[in-house]
Amino acid sequence: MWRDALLIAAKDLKIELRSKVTMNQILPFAFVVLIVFAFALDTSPGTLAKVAPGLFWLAVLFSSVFGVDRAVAIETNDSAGEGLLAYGVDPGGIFLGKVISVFVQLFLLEIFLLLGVVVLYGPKIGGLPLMAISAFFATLGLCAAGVTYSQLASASRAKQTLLPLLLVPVASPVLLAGTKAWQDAFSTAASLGDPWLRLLIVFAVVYLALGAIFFGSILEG
Amino acid sequence: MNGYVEAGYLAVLGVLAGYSALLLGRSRKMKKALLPVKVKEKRSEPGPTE
Amino acid sequence: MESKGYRWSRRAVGFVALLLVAATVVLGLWITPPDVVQGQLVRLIYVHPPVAWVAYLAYGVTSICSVLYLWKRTRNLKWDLLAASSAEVGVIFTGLTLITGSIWGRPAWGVWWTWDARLTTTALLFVLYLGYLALRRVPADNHQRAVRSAIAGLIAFIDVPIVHQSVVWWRTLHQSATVLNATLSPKIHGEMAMTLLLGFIAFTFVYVWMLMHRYQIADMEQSVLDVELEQLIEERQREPETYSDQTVLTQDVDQIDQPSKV
Repeated sequence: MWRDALLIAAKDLKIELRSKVTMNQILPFAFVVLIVFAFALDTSPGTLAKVAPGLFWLAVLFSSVFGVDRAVAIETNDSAGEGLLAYGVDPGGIFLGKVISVFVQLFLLEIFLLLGVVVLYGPKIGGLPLMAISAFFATLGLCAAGVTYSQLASASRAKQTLLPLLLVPVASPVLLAGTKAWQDAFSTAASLGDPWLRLLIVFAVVYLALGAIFFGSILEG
Repeated sequence: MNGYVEAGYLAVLGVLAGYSALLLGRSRKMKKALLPVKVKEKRSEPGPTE
Repeated sequence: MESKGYRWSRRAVGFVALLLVAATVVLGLWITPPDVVQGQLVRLIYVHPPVAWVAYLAYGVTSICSVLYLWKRTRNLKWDLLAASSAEVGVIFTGLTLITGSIWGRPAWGVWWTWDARLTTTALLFVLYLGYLALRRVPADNHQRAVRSAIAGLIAFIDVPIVHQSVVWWRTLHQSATVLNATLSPKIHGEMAMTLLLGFIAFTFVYVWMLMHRYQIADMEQSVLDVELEQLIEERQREPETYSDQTVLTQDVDQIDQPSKV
């Protein structure tokens, strides 16, 4: 399973390196979101800095919808996924591979996005270990839930509209916990025993398990 | 009473009655839709003896 | 098709539901006394918590049916249709929970909406199951749709405690006494407690009646689809070459291709 997962992840990342969809489309989109948030809110100093963690995670949530949709579309176009199954690739491995590939892309996007947030909103960042670890598990949870739902919605001709409706309510705890964990990290009370970090870990573990269990049935069914 | 109580009861009864009516309507429509299917089946029976 | 016993039990349940709801309304609106604190507003207690209870009951039934479909030993398309029916009724009752809660909140708290944990969870639940129903409308063959929606239904249910826990932590500082706490308080008047209990039973009967009816419709829709498919296969096997038949066939195929409403 792990071998299959790494193979799939390497294949998807290679596709990304050549097509640069995340690089050239999703990342710029996330930046635009950061800019229009400033229009919707208030640019007076302090306001944006205060809500910066929430806006960051909202931008990540939006980007993740596109990211997972793209990852699953690679296989559903031309029924490539069925081909993989026919070759005897483990379905759990396909799931994990997709999660790894989207995770790597989304995590890199978050690093760039964080630079944007620091420059545009000017929050006082701190508590780097808590920030990094909570971002790791938040992203993992988002990718696991996202890949599962994206595959569920993939049969639909209207999947571009169906996927956000399915994914955003499910992923709302990640948005909430990610935001709160970062707020804690920015404040002086940063510690790795943060309850929000625990929630993120639980979410990631639950959705990784659910995805690994059910992905095969979704692919075959 | 005070308007809010009445509005609450009206909302519950109204929505439930509306949904029930919808269910009854759909059920009647489906029963009608199933009828011609039965007729067709009967008509196709003498087919091979022709 | 519907059996006679099923039809009569459905009608009996419907009749009882109607009587009980009427009794709840009469008792709730006119017979029971107004509350010392809430005044007339307390009358909303006879509808709001029962409606919310039915919503949770409906989603519970959806999850159990989803599991029964996913488990290979009990796999039967009936579970899938039952899960779908229960989810639809559940969405109606969740909507009613939000509406009555809002109507109650306005005079009691002065706002139509407050970011209370229970309210936020209910709102997210509403959207979650709207998504489930939307997923069901995706055209697919019976088994594929059943598997996908069963998984979606199950994941949605597992997500509920996570969502709830997160919003509870989020709102800890602002937590105000919620409706259910009030109902559990021992100070409640005997007459009022009885009416509240009656409300729970009455709306549960309404749920059962709606579920039976909705399931019946889903079952009929399914058999229409199956009969159409059988006929298509038969026609194709019998007369494969006539031109006129083929045009009829393509029309039929178009009809079957359309998203089913199950």
